[in-house]
Amino acid sequence: MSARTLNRVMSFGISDLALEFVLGYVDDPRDREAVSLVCKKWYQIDALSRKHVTIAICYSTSPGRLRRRFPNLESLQLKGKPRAAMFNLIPEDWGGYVGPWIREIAEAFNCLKSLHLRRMIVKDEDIRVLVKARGHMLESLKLDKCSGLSTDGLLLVARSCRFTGIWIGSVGLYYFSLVEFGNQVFGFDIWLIHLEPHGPSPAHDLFLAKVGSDRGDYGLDSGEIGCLRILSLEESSISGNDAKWIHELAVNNSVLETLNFYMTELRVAPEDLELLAKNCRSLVSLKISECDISYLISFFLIATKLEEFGGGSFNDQVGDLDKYMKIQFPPKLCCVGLIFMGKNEMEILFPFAAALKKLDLQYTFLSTEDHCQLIQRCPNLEVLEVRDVIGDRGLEVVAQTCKKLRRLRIERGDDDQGLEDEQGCVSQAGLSSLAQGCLELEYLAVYVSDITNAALECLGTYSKNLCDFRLVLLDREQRITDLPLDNGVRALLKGCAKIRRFALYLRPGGLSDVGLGYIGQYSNNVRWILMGNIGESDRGLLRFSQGCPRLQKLELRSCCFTERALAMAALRLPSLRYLWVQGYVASPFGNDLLLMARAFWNIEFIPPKHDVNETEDRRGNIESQAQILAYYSLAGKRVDCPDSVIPLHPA
Amino acid sequence: MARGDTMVEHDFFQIEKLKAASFRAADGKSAARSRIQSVVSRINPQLLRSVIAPGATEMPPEKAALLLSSSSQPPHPVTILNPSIRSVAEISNETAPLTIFYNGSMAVFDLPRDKAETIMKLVETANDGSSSDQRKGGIRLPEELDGGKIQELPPMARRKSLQRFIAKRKQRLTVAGPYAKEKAVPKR
Repeated sequence: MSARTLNRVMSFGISDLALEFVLGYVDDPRDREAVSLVCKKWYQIDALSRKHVTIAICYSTSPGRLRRRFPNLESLQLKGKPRAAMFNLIPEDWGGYVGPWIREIAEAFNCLKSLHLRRMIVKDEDIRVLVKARGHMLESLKLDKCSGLSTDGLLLVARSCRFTGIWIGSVGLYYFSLVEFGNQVFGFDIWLIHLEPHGPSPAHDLFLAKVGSDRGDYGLDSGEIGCLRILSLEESSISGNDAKWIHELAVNNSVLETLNFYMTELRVAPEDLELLAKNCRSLVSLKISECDISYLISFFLIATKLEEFGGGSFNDQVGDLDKYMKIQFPPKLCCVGLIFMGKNEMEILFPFAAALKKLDLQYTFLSTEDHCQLIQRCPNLEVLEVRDVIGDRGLEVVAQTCKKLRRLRIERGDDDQGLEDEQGCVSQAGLSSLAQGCLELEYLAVYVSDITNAALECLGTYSKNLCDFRLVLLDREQRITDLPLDNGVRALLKGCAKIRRFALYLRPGGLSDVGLGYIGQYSNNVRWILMGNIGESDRGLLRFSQGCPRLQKLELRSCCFTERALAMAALRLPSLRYLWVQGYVASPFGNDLLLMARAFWNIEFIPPKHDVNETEDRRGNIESQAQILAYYSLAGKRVDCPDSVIPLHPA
Repeated sequence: MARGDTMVEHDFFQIEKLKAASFRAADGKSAARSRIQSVVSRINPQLLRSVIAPGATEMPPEKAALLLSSSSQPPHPVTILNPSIRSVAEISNETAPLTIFYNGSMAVFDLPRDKAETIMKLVETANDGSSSDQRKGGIRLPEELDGGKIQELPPMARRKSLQRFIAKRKQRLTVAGPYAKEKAVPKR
């Protein structure tokens, strides 16, 4: 044994080829990271075989670096603006331009089939470049909370689907004749091969082969080649008023499975949706912008495979509710979220409520009682999203009925109490019932009006599967039953050992320095933490930073910590790679922030805006407070900062 | 004296003059002070006294009137957390006289800016939420007054998607009218 040398070149006796095969089964990014750290050879094999990468902040690396390391990527997810952008706290021009990435993708990423952009700025020109280079291969394009593009860009995407195709294996069943040749679009030659089975061929039997300079490259193999199956634009800001792109998509695409433009202002024509349903027989999920549901009666009859539908709207005129009752939903529909649905209309869900797995009631007009009536018919619910109008009573019903519930989101309703149901607030009573009733809960995000330590302890006792917990204490009630929440938070974190994402937004007095220390002490697995209005002093933050061994991303809002403490905490947290702060005690000249300056640590500062209207308009212009953003980066200082963002380090 | 039946009033202590001056000043200078004046008259004085008790001093009207003119810069209502302002306030902690007219009596209290604003807030919520008072049985003191430091907290931010929904709902209800809550007229 003493003569044994760790001969890593041979990789412990495993050949390179074998290693590649084995690693092909290793998908988890953390496992992959571990693999890449073993030795250079393993690093190389991982690099060449890595299929998917998620870049949490696009400025942490450069497109070139990504390409040099992972040239064969098939799937890429890029995130731009800080999470706070979803709450209107980040200036629109902050950054997150996808342009440089698209150019690199067009040039070098020859295997890329799936692109997911989140909170980025995507322009029509970027889409043009992407589609030209990768349109024939793109299977999934998700523009999630993006901005900067128009319906012209969408038209380009829709037209690129003309090049859809499926290779078939047994040529003998089909004969093919050349219909078009040399159709030069987007710069490469295409053959359009029209295949006819034994009968007349509907539009979706249009097949295509892509040829480059080597026609022999593409044999008749079974499988799909680069055609858009997933197109998602959820919550993106897209300008333009025409619905041509949907029509083009319906005409050109035959394999679309998911189309999502939920929470956008895009216009949609029911006829185009019907055409889409006719041509895309695999359509499984459709989420649209606002369009009266009664116009979709035909659509629902055609889209027989539909499992998920979201959006639409109800615009019932006085005494004309019958038109909604005529709707026959597809037989497999189990995920539903209808906008502006009211008490009278919710009955259309009753016939299949028992089959519902996902229900989104965030944008409905239902009262507390309505929620109870509906949810008690849904014993198979796994995902539920509501506003706090559901109330404690509604949560009781959830606890009794929805035993399979995995994800629950309870959003914040209108502050104007006249518009929301009087019973519409969630408190410790509802949470305790929920914890005891829904033992499968993995994700819980809730806005509460009142809370106690006991409720959190209850969650710690029962919700053993909890991975993601977010609690926000609304400022509706002046007095909260039981503050500070130190002991409850401790019990929750101790009991729910699987928690990886944790958010706690309270009010002054909500969590003491001791409580903050508990969070640090008992957050062994937590990767992301958001905290607001917690702690009493710097001491709390420093205690917190002694723990949280795996904390990668920290967001703090409206806390009483000094720059100095923030800097010290950032230096001390061992896994921290991203820090966002808004609302803190600034040092006179901002010097203390630079205490955390170090190599590869970008520090950006967004100074408060001094708007004349600031003090009068309490609701608007929340952006006016100073923000700090710091993150590890291998790409150096940002070069595309707007005036509102000041890079402090590197200087 | 023998001028017929005309009554002459002599303002020996110049109270009227100072009062007039203070009203003029209120318009120009301190939106806050005039706000307090109009709103405080509706608050329960016992409650107010119990809140401000530690710093309370009661003075005879004449002295109070004189003090009116000599008070320092009134608090500027800062509704958004500005770090630079906060650090200054923490260091200096200056107090200014707060004068309250109620039910024919006047009281002056020496208060730091943050406490003064809490009282303003308290009074406003007491005024606006009078119906909710009845439900909850009286005004609850804001948490901050129990020894803690008052902070001007940034308003809780709302998710964009919900913000849009709430705005749209308000729009629909406005269109439909206050009596047709569920049946909104479609806008085409």
